[in-house]
Amino acid sequence: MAGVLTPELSGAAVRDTARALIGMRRSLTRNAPGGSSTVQLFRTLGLGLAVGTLLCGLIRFEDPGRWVDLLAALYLGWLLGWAMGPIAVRGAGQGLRPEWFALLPIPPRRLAAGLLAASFVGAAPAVTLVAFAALPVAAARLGVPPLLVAVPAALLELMLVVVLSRVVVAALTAALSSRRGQELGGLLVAVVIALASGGWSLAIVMGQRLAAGPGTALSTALRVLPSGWGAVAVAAADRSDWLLAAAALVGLVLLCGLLLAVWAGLLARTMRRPTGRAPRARRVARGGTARRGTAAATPTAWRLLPASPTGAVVGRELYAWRRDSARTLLLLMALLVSGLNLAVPALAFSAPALLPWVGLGAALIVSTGAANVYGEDGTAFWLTRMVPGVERADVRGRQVAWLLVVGPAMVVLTVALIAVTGQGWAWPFVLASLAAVLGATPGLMAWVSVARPVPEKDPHLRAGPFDTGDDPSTSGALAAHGYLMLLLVAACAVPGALVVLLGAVRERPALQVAGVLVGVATGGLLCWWGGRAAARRLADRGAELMDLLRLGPEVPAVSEATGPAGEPDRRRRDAAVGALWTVGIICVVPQGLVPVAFNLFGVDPQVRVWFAARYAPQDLQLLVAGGFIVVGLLAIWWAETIRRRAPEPS
Amino acid sequence: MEQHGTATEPDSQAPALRLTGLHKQFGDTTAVDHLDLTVPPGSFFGLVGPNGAGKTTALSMAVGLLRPDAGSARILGVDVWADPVAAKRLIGVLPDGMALPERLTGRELLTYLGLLRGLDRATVAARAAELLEVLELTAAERTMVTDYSAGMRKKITLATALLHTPRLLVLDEPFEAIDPVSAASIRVILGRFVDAGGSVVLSSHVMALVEQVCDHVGVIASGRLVAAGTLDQVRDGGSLENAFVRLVGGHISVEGLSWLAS
Repeated sequence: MAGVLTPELSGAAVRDTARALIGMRRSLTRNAPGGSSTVQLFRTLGLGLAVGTLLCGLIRFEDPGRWVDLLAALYLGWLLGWAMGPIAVRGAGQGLRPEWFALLPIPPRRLAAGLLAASFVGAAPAVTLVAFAALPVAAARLGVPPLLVAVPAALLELMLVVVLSRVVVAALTAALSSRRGQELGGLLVAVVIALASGGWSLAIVMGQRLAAGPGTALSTALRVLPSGWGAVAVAAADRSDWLLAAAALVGLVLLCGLLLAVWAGLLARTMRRPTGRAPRARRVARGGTARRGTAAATPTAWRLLPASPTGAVVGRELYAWRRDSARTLLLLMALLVSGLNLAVPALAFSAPALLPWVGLGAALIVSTGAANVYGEDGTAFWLTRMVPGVERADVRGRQVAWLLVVGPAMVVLTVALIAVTGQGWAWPFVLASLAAVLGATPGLMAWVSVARPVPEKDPHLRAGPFDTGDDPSTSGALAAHGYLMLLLVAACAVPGALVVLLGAVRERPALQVAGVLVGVATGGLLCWWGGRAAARRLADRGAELMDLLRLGPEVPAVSEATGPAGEPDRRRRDAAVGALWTVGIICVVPQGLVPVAFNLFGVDPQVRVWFAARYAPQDLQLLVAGGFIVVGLLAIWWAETIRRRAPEPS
Repeated sequence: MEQHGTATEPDSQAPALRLTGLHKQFGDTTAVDHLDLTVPPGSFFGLVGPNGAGKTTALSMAVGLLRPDAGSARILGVDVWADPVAAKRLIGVLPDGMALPERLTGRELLTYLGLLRGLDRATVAARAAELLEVLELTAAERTMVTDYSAGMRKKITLATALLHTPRLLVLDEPFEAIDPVSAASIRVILGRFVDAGGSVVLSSHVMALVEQVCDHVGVIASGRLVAAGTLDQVRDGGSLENAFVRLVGGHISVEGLSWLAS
């Protein structure tokens, strides 16, 4: 940006380019399918957070170190939001992609300047500006010199987050053009999702440390990170430490310049390879392929499995579990989410009673990925369709492979954690619920995937493991199905656990054993029934499933003029269903069940974070949590009513 | 042509493929319009037509991958939609642009499919090895299908269609994206298959190729069959390309774009 002003970078030329780019981005946002309501939601949410941050600038502290800690922490939060945002919403439309302009006769530097200018225009930078005004607001109390430092500091921090986010997008685009990069991108998405759902436990540990006062390692870290440099500069100005104040501001300028240079480099790379199509670097398939030269050998998996149609499907699925990063990342994400939500609090708040449930929690999260196994394979179902009478083998084979992969891992994790922590009381509870969950998931997986399939992009056309295509209604429907699986599977664990609880209350071990048996029976029965029902439906309605996977939910219209009339309605409906499910799950699980569990397991009452019920008086906490559960269930019921009222896709 | 009742056993005298009144509508668009088509047994049949003529839709309905709105499809006398199990034993299919079990290598894919079809391990292993060899896929022994090029995908899908010794092959654009050397070996394979009594139906819009390999031709336009018969009957003394342009009513527009020549 701070380059020499050649004619190509003259103000008017850049302004024209930027204006055209901004106009183009507005059109993209407007035309994004189902986008406007989601965008509105995010804007409102962002504005709320920004006003909250701004108000934090008004808090008075005895110790001046405290407000530096607080503002540095808040700025770090915004910085992480800007950096992770593009990762989390990858695939849901990225705005302007530089590679689109690669063939235009615009000098690259003017295009870069235009793109940069365009990225400062819009709701997100405006909202962030409101949030970052917290620094000048806080500085205004300290006097004129700190205020004079605070204004450029806040603007530089804004520049930093915007440019950082550009770098992340450009790096991601560059990475996604290779298969390995796609898998790395997938790993990043998995970690971000896990942090979003379980990061509260880390935040609270951080909060505890911060409360211990300045001088701790955490407060040092917050000041060393660039997000804290603005606050550091203001505090230094307040102490008349002009050297430090100037150093912090100059540091921000230099860092912005460095990021701009990195961004320009990445941009140039993207533009040189404008197709955006991943080159097919051939990877070596992991595991068990017959070696070359042994011409007539059978691949390893099938040498070990029975030579039957079901064995054939089990082999296919085992290879997919081994080699498909979407599946391995699901397992990783499940362990992370469960660990962050249960293991970290258990250790941080000395509540070891939470530890035996880590395996069960992970199994529940894995179940969310089992809601659409046929849709996930895309049109590959044609191959199964062309082989006569193998529907049952296909369903049972998928179930067996799922059990072989997920079952042992979760059982070992659970047994190990109970054995290590000595939480012997948990055995019957955990065994009953784990058996039910491990049986119910493959059963419901078969049934839900066949009865409510969501067509996805064909696997070989996806850009990375989390790419569900450009239509947000697909990702909305997938999310709703994932939540549905989670709730159904969790519900299946209830009968067995209740019998065990009854046995515990009445102190009758026999009843506890019976509870475990109930859990095993629930799981076994659901696995058998779900598979049978799915195989029958597949045999009867396989042609309809094939049509859906191939042609999508709407009847495609070739001519533009006769486009499907109900299209915007369907998208709005799917977006509403997805939003209601999200609200419902938040109310039921973190705002409902988690506080109840905390109460039952005696977690320190000071641990409140974002669990609303924990802020209520002790006697009312269970009531508030119960209220959230009711509200959440109502939201889910509402979502399902909307969906059922809609005409079935033909 | 005599009438054949719905049989569950294949009748080698019956047409290899017989479509009767096949119809498919997508919204307001008629993709296939009451199509009648007969492919004689033992023939190498080329189905040609312009883009969007309904070739893929018709072939998908013919093999049981897309449910027709009306009409029927019979393979060696067996109704595809009334007795799918018997019909599917008789056919090998190469659809256009569909996914496969992407995380398998070529050999694994063929092994999986062979076992799924109930063949024994030794047979599957031997046939897979031979198919990979003939189709020149052994060099990519450890490459997953997802990393295959478009031509390699065609070849491995053709191998899946041949694995169980079908009586009729239905191939949608089999030579698209295939290099000339592989195309030549595929032509030899298909020729041998027809010589041994099998039948082939393939769709293409490369007239020269159809003229070279096919003995029967059907021309489809706007979802209807506009001509069918032996190659010589359809091209009627001229080239197939001329016959095709005449039949589908195409004309080459040279109006407009005057600025391009300036």
